[in-house]
Amino acid sequence: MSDRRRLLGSVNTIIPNVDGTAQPAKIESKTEPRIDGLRPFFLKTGIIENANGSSYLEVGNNIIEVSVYGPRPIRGSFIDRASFSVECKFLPFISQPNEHLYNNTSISASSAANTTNQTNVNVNGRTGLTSIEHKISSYIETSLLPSIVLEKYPKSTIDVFVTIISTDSSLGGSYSDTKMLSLVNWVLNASSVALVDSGIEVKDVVTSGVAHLQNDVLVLDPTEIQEKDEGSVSCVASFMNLRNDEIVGIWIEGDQTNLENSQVDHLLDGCNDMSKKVRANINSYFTTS
Amino acid sequence: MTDIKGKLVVPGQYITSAYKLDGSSQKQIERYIPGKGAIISQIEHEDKQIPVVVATILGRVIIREIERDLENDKAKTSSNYNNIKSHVVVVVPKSNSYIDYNIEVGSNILEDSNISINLPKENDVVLVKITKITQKQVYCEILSVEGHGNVLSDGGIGANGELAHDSLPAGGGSQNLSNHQTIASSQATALGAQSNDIGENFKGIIRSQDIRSTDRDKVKVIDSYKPGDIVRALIISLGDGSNYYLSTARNDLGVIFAKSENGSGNLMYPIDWQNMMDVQSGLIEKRKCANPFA
Repeated sequence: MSDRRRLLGSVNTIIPNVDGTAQPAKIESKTEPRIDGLRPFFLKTGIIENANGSSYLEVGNNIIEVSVYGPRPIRGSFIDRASFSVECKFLPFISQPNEHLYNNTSISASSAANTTNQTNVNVNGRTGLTSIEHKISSYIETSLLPSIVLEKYPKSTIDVFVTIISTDSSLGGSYSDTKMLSLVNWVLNASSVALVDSGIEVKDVVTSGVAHLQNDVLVLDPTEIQEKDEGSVSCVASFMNLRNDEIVGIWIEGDQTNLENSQVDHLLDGCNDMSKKVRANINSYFTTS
Repeated sequence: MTDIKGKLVVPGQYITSAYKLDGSSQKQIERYIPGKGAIISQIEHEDKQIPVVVATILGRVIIREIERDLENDKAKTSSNYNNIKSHVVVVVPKSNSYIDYNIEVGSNILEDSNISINLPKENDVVLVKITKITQKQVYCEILSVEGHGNVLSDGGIGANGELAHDSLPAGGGSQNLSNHQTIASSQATALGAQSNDIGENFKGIIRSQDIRSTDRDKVKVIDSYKPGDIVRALIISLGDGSNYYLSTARNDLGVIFAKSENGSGNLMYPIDWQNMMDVQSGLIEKRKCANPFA
């Protein structure tokens, strides 16, 4: 008797002869003291016609879009240099990394146990920036500001708008400092590229790297890290690599109780190396595209 | 040294050391001065700070020798002076609409005159569009800087540009989605630096006493400019936060394009410095005309 309520396949279906034993390649857990893998990333500039500069970046599940407007005229009183602003927003349906920590999205603040399953309770329909967006915007602003030749643009504003379309943590929704800092790292790199695309004069292209340190094992561009253990530290740092490797921004998360100078140096060296690699890739994108 | 002239550089890339000795004689000092699209950076090398000319935009390098003014040379008494040869280093953007346009029409522009962003400076000649007139002054928006192209690369896009005649949502449709919660730089006064809508141009004012150089106190604004006119003007001051100050008190400055009957008529042609004629209707209107070909 045929089922007329449902769409079934045709009666004479042939099942394809596929070997069911194939397994996805298993990633070997790495134990070297230092893991320098840099994930491949997709980059494109000039996708937004109405903006002065724009970029689109995909790495892993992170999808970031940045548009730069400016220099634009201001209202109000005279300023002899440009004002620089950054606004970083997640699309409303995306769960933001570590939002239970920063955004206070739990229904009642006391029921901390429930928070891990909470997604954006008060985020939809919001108008302002959430705390996490605020933190990321502030990091991008701090890092890019020293590179821009603001004196060349009196009476104007330069505005950077970052939209995060997808993130590594939005799929799993798991708690991870590393994933958050990794996202920040790529947001910064994408913003830098958009700034160059806009033709605004910069002293150097700011690039950044992200590293994770645990039991003296340094991992660059970390993705799947077993953290939460004691002594697990993540760090993102931004550099002007062609200006004496000047550090323009640094953000450390994780267990910092016993963090020593040598470890910080180790992390920063790692970030610098990754930043240089990213810079090399961005340079070759600019010169060949 | 490999020749970097004409090469594509990225922002931050070193172009040349600011000072160096001539390769052959080792006596001639070559000096490099950053022009548009370049700055001097202090780069550390073996515990020394070396001034280096670096690029600030993505583009091609042009190095041009500065020809010396012989009369001023005599005034200089420094013994080393004659040994110094100066060059200016300019980076021009890979391509933009102004360069593309000039290639298309085959005009000979100075190859280093353009950079993608051309904020007006004092003494620049600009083209403006009159937006509003009062008895004391004329309000206008600055469209382009002569010899450099549009002020902003998006000039002419948005509520005031070519979309202006299309249907637009309330508020002009050119607002960005900002909710003014952005993280603004503390180096500039964030309160004084509220941004305008996308597609809005830099604005300017021509005061009635700056319209012409003779009989300045008898100028009638209404007999000089009307809204919609395209005017060639000179920037005399960066002005206040909102407006540049402009002047047309020169023979080559004033109205270039105007339509009769407040824009509803036809294009008019100048018959003398203060009259324009619509040749189809024979109507004569008063304007302060420019003679850019004198």
